[in-house]
Amino acid sequence: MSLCQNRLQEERKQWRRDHPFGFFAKPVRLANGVLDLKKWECGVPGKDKTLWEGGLFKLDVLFPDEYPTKPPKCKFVPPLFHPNVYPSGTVCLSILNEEEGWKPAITIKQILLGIQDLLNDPNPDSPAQADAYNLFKRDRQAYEKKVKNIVRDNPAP
Amino acid sequence: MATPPPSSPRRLSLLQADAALQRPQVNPVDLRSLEYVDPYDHNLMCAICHSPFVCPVRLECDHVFCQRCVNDAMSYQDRDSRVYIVSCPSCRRKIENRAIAPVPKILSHILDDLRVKCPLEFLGCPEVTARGDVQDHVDKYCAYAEVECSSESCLLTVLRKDLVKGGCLHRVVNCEDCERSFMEKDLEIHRLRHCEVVESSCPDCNVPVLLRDIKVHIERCPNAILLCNAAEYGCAFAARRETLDEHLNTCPLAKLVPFLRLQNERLEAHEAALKLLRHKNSILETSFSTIQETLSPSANLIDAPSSSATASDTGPFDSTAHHLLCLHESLREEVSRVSAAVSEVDAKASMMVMNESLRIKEDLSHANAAIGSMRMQLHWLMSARLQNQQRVAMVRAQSSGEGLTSSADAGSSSGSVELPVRRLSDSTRQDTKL
Repeated sequence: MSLCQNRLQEERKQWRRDHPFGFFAKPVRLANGVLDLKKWECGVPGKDKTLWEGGLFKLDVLFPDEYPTKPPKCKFVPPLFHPNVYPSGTVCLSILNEEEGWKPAITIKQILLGIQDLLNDPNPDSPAQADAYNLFKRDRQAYEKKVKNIVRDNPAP
Repeated sequence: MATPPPSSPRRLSLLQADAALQRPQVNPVDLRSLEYVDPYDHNLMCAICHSPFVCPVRLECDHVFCQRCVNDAMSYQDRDSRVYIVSCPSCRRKIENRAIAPVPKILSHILDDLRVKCPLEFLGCPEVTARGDVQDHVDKYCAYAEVECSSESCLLTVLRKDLVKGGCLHRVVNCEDCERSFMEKDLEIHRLRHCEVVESSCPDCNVPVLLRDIKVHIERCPNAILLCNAAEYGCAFAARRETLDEHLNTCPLAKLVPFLRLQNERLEAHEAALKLLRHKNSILETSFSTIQETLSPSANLIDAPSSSATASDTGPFDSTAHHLLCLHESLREEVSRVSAAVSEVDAKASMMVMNESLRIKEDLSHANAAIGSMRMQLHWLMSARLQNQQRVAMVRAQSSGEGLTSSADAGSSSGSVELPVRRLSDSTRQDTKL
């Protein structure tokens, strides 16, 4: 088995053994019933006692053939209103960037927890979409209102 | 240990090639996909493949990985970056010296001692062995490993356990019951599990039935022992199917079954509703208590002064709401009084400022007039002095230049007059300033 498949198999085992409350992550099942380990469907809940509390945000995690040497690509489906999420939904986060902070030791659990932290703690130094960034910079009240609407539209079960 | 120059083939890949030469294996066991019996220490886990290390090696930053994992990681990094520098997959430190160091023997021993299940467990092998021995187990001992057929002319494989049966097991034979043909090695499994024509017998009536019909038979078998319908409500009667019908006519519990079932359903519905209500109640209670908590400090604050101040004249208030309203009223009066006072003070202050500024304006105009008169005097003094000096210079020029021509006389006199005058005017101005 290739290294990538091996590692993903282990990640799956570890996730099933133990994962943080409110999160979910599972490989997708193809039409012919076979599991595709290189594409996972994940869910990140908003952190308690933050603006994002009570929301559950779904994202696809796509693993390249070179994983774990190269980082997976995390994409919110549908794209999320957030200063560090590209209009396509792709998350801009240092630990997901090969040149910056990615290292093969980072697990799926750590990635998802990192994304959860990012939700309420956007990084204004690397904006990825104009709408959310401008609102965040200029009109914090309107930003918070919009976030609350998004949380209401994506409630945790 | 000499490090290889950048252009030489990878030391890591050379090592792997050697290993492959020394030990030719038909199908090496993939140690990463083995199932480990006991949970292992997470320090033994490779950060790249997340399995216990396989052939661990150490980088110059002291991080340990599987040899294959490091090889793969470096080759991917090489392909992307032009520079011949890669970074450690754990700490991202640049690795300049690519030579990898061996790890202490003890680590390999610990890894080899991990207990794993045989990779052929899915075929039925119950073996649990140390990871270091699993390759030997599969190669030499495992009864479920595929080996060459004992017949020399046959190129197919059989399971090791079937070798003892002797002869080539790839002859095609027919199942005695269903007439389908199989290879001899597969016949046993077919007859045990899959053949539908093999005879079996009903566990209750011992009548021989075909394997494929046995489920249908059990549902209808007259001799099957069945329980009374009301078994779950306490009737302990159990009998063959025929006698059960008679029992059902007389059993009082059996007659109550529909009613009891309805009751049960109702109870369940009530329980669910109760649970929901309880949940709601708890939510309301918590919100109520938070409201009380936020209210209580303010109520205490109000109570303390009011009891001392108002006890003498009005007595205690009959309710906190009334109390709050009173307090609000008095506070509002206080505020209006304070605002009136503030506006009064404001008016006073502005009047004062106006008076003061008027006076200052007058003073300023006085001072301006005085300065004007001073300037006039100064002008007069200066012009007087200038005239005086000019006169002195003229007198001096006349007395010294008697023999010169008239034109030269005019030029020199004008030059000698100008210089001292300007210097003098400068010095006088300095004087007035001081």
